[in-house]
Amino acid sequence: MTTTDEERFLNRARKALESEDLGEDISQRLYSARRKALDQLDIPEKRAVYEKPWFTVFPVGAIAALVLVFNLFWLDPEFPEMPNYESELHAAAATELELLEDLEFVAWMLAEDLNAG
Amino acid sequence: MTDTTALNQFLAGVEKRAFAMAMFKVKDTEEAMDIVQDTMMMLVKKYATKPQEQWPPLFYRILQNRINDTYRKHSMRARFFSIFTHDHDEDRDADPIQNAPASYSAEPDFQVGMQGATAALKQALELLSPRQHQAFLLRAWEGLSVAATARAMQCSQGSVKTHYFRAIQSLREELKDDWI
Repeated sequence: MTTTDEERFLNRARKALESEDLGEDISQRLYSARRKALDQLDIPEKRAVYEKPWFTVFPVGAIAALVLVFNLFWLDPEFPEMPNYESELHAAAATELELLEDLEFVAWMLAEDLNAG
Repeated sequence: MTDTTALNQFLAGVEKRAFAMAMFKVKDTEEAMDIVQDTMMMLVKKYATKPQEQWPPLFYRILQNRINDTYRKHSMRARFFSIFTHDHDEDRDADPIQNAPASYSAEPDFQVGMQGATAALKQALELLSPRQHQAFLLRAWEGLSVAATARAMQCSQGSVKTHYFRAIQSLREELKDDWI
């Protein structure tokens, strides 16, 4: 087979294959298939976990919170001293108890007097 | 960055031939359409960012793989059902693609309109082995280089040349009465 023969044969074969009309329906469906395939390019790709915004924000927030806690409770222990009310309460409670006992004693005395009288 | 316009033009340029190639093999409009759509989806999804000159061999590699998958599925189904009719011990280990029969019944509407040279060529193409068929369509119809055809067929360039040469010989032999 010479090159010219082969070329002629191939040209004829190409024309024969190209001559077939697939029809409007197939052409339309192929167009739709192409559009559907190309539409994938408009959809943002799923990001990997390490690419998501919260993946960066979360550790930064956690570190900031740790620094805050560290500063508040460890580096700065000078909290204002709380007043000690314990002794005053005890004193008040003791006074109250004495008064109560006195009242009870007075009430008993009165009762005795009434009984005697 | 993907050049959507270039990709659209590329797909528009190959879609009809791709459909015809799938149709040659599977003989079913719906399945051929599914094959082409899957091929387009896969190309866009996986290889849209590749250089444009790589698209044709990649597209046809995906297409041929999908065609072969569908063809194998058909063969397996046919073999499964044939168990109930008669035994095929000697065919059991054969590669369904390499030894596939030339055709199974084509849809009537696909055969309508096949006249003259086109009909004769298509009948001759049916007689080629699947690899010869692929090599001929990719080289002669699609115009891929030997190297690109080899990438699409996932074989060596030497194999492409052999398949292509045998395909042309076979076609010329079959078509000589009609074409010469």
